[in-house]
Amino acid sequence: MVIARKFHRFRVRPLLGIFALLLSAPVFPAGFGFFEQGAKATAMGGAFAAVADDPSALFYNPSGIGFQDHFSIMAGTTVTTFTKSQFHGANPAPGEDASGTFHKTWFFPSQIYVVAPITSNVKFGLAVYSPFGLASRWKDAETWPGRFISQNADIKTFSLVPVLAIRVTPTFSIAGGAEYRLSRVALERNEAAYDPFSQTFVDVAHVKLKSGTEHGWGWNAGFLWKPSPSFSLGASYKAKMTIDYATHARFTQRFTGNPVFDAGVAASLPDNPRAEASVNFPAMADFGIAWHCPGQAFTLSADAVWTEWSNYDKLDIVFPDGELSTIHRDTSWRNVWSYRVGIEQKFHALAFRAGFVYDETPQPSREAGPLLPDSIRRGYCIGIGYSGEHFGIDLADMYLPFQNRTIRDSQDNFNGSYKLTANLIGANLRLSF
Amino acid sequence: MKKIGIWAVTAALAWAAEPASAQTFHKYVSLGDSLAEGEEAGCVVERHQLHSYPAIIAQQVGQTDFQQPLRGELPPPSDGISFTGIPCLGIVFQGGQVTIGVVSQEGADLNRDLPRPFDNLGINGFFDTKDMVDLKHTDVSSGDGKQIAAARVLRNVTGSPFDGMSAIDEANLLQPDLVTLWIGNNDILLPAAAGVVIPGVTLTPQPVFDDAYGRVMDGVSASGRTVVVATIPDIVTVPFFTYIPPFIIDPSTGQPIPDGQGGFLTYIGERHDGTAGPIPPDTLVTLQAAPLLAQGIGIPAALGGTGIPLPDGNFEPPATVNPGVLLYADEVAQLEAYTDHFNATIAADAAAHGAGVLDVHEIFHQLKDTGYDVAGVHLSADFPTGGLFSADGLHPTNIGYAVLADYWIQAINATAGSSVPRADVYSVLFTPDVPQFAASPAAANGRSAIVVDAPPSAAVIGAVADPSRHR
Repeated sequence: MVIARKFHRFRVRPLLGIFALLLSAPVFPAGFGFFEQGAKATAMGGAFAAVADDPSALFYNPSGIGFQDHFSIMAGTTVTTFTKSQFHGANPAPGEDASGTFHKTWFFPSQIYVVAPITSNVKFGLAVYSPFGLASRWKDAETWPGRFISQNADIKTFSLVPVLAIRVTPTFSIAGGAEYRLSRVALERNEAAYDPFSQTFVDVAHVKLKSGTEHGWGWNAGFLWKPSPSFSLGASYKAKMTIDYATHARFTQRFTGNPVFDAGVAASLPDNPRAEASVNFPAMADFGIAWHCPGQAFTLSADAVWTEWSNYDKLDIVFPDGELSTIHRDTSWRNVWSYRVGIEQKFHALAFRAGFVYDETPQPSREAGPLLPDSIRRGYCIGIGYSGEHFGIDLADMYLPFQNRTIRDSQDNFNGSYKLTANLIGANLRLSF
Repeated sequence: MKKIGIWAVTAALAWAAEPASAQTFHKYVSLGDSLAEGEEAGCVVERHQLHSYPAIIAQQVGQTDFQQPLRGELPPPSDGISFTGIPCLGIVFQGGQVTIGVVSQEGADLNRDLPRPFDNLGINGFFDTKDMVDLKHTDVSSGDGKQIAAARVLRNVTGSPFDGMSAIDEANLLQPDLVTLWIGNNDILLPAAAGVVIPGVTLTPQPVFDDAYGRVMDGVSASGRTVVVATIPDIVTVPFFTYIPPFIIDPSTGQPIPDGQGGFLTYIGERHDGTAGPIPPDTLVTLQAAPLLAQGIGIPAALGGTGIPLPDGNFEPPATVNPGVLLYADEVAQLEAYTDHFNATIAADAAAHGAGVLDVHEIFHQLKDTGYDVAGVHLSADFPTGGLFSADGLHPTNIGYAVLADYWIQAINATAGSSVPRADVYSVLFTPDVPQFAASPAAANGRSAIVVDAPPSAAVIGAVADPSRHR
């Protein structure tokens, strides 16, 4: 006589866990948006929409190339790492003794920009950059208290951006272009299950979800107006974009040593189930103003950048093979602004730069966690540049401390304090002909 | 039912009047029944008592000398029969099957000579609301389980300095400034577990409960004392009453057997009028039915059973209750109506006495409906794999008690304006809870079986302890 419930009931849970990863994936700006796409702009705090006077304008304000009269190539990278990443837990979970740090990892998001004048007033530009990315990879992943939420989240994007700019008048330029974005996601975590024999939860599987390279299309536009030699206004807009991901989840069993329990787990693990999700990347608008002293030796610029995080209000996960019903989750992110100011002082071929960034977080407190412990951040920037007749080089450093964030209402019941600091070193070379 | 909220704010005004400094507590006392005592898996042993929700609250309050009536633990007898203490259940693997078996038994009391009352005055053995104020003297010679259980905690036996003192009296002797009170569960659970729902016989009449609870609150309330009380859970949120479905399961498929009319075949059971037949699909079959079902009772002969109906339970005047294993819809409705009434009384009395309320009724519904997430680990009320309910299907696990403790602390802080640190519900997830001696599951001779699972393929049986000793 069998009155049984099936052990298999906990088959559903691992899948739900997997998609909790995707739902919270740190794919987006402010959290993991990447605004440091040129060393000069980075040194000026990203306040560059009304400056836009080097090829990195293709990212900050593509209409800036309308005023660039030479064929130019610019290539660079932004060496990025977390210099401090401390998590200290709190009750009720993961407890006051819990702690963690990121695995020390260096990132090299890179950029290539090409500006090609077609006529004196019509310019073509082509850019390759990584507008979103970075990763959170936790050290000692097999014992890290947040391992059931995330051990590693690795997001990569690459955008190919062709732009056409027209200098409509000697003081006014407009631009528009397309963006072809490639993206892939890899997420890892462990899965726990209750062992009724020992009356304790145990690690039963490692779950890795790695998408293929998917793509989406978007567009951008901008204008730059220089009503006087000492004053300029600029704005740019990057449209929101949707990328559809298709992936498999791979389960690797963690054996507990109890053959009965392990056999039950083995029978319960899904066999690489397929899943599909659509991610809505946010739109972004950059409004800038700049003042140049007579002679152009000194520049003061300020930008306000708006990111439409409300676009990321939900995510639906579909199981095309019908193993599970669609999972729906509200994320409740909000639109945010970042505020940026920068200065540049030139001494002949040398330029010294500094800037400051105040960047709001779109992430509600309840959403902050091991996948993305985002917070308000303040960036302190310095830089130097050299410009020769055909050659230029720029260096920048951004010290980026995140405001300490204490989470008491985590939706995953993973509470505690995060202390993060990042450092970004930008370098690029410019050639013009 | 009137929604009370996770914790009422009946004391919020008092809190608001003293915002300058957070309340701290110097003496904490717990009053209640088996749930306060820390019973798990059918027994009360130190292994579980140290994880009781009062023990956790005391730790978080900072009370280092929190004394409980701890009880040792012994291996089960080698013959599976000669128990010297109440058996402790657990999930075991024996005979090629996953079962609920006996893993240990209660041992000796460890600190019965404490010269003062215990700080945890939770008492098992169907200790109810009226007992909390009226049970001032216990007589272990009677052999009554309630008397024995109360005597162990209250020690109010003849010749004892505590003789003549109720649980409330002993609590007041300790002069606590923080009291948690969770009583009333057994006013519902006694009739529910017995399968006999008769007001005045098994079910506490509403006026009796109202009077008793009022006297409890009068007795426990005092100036300068924070009191937080808890409501009574709905029985449909407890696996003991819901784990066994009313449908006959095909052992070859693990699925209910269609009845050819769009439904499924149900077990056969006694009806209130003494006739027998298939039970309605909305009938609750208690965990006590498991041993009977394993013997084929409740299953038609045509399906391989004995054709004997499951017992409904009845009352034989003047004082004999014959337990059953079925709760028909009218009985469930009556129990839920009484639960709602009792909870309304609890909320009203708490408000009248400035006490806070922890709405366990609502919490248990949440746990059943959505579970509880801890750092990416999902706990649920699923039995026995959810992690919240112990092997008896009635009492929480160490994990479940930690979750409850955290809710209690939040209610205490909301009531008193205190900042007692919340409980750690993470570490307990990964702390094995097994007897310290070598596992040697008893063969459970003479006990009937319950299937708890089927990993990976076999039909599975298990043993549950003597149904009459469930509390």
